[in-house]
Amino acid sequence: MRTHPGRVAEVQLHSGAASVLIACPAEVVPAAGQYLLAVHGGSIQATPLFLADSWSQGFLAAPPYPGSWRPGTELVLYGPVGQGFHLPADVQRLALIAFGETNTRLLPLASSSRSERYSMTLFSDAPLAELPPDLEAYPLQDLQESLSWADFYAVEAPLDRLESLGEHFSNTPQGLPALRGQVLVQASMPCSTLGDCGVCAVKVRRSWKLTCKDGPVFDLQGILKGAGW
Amino acid sequence: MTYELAIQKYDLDISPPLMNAAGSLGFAPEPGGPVDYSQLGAFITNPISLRSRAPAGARTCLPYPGGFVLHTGYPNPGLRSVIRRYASRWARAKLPIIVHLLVDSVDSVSRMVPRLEGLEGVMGIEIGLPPDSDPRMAFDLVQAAVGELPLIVRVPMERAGELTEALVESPLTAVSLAPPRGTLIDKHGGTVRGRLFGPAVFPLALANVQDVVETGVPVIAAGGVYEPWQAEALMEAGAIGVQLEAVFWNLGWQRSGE
Repeated sequence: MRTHPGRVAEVQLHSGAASVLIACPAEVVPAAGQYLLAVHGGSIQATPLFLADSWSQGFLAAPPYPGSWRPGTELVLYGPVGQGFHLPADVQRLALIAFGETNTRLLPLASSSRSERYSMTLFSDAPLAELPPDLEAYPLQDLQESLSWADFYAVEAPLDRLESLGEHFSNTPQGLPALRGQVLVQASMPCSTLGDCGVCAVKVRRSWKLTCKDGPVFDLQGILKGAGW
Repeated sequence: MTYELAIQKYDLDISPPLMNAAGSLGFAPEPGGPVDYSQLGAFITNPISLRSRAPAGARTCLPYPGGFVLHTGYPNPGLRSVIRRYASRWARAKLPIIVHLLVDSVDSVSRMVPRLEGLEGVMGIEIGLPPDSDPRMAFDLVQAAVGELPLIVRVPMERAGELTEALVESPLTAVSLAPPRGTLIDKHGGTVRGRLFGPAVFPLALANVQDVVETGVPVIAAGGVYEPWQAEALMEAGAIGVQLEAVFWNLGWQRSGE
């Protein structure tokens, strides 16, 4: 895999959160849940860039991004890397659940091309970006009432919230072991997949996996079992 | 840049005298990624302990101006598992392999070193002294590590001069410099102590190279090197080689494809 040139084309503000439009070759645009690594002159660490929305000349990257980036900032991009979301073909009712401070990394699953396949609902307490017209959004406190509705869960959660993840699903009528879903783990990934440094390590079933390489999207059951649920 | 000096006269054949630092590039070279291994004269593995180590519960990476603090706990599957998984890749690697061992006792060193002797592709051992090592402990650990393979001893940078003095008579090939340690406040108000990386470390590294050179023990420098001029400066200060670390994570140091 080689590096590619990129550029910050524009900074967009939605509900107080800033996203950046990244101009780049089409072949490096990450899929939902995957990411690119981006560096610029003067950077000390690479920044992971996740897809928030499509764009004809590249993609809209979800926050956060370095405060030093401005429109015109030249980037070097590596990727896409990581395992993204892969929804089974038979999903009919998709619950998007964001437990962290952002929910934009889940929004590519709500694109118009996908919404024809399934109905979907977003549960999040984070500020809402511009949502597709057919995506309903509710606060996390309403999640319990909707557990019996969804047949698949796409979750975004910080690393330090994974241990308590099972609490939010413990009252599901079908029981925890029957839940189908995937979890996009939010973790600091300082070694850019190169060092096996372990900062992003997550317990999946009985094994330690690295969010940067083995994820960032993992099977929901693996995460629940790894957390002891 | 070109290096005319190779680490050949110290029982190590490392040409050019550049290598990655332990903990920067995993347990074996992985071709096909952004790292240009042709720029390196050797590959140093991630730190490996006798028994497996889980990631630290409070593992984190905290940035600060000029660098970042890293606390990981040095997770690794243990020496036996690492050899089982990676020995064949070490044998096929185009770079000579130096295996880095996490050592905390004479017993663990004595049990690990013999398992590496005779492995194809492994041309040396680097042992990482614990941060709280005293001169006597350092001497004993080094004595236990002496065997058939050339030995590099990674000393805590903050005490490089003091500990190297204690090893002057030891049959080691060289010392190298471990990342310095520091403390930051995390977002929850707690303190995080860990290894320091980033360009801000370079002045510390250069100063400590100068200290170690005075002992007469060969030193392989490391710390905050992001540009070729910094590696040159360390060599001009007397280092016989340079280890690169977090610059790789910034997709830097002559990325493949450029």
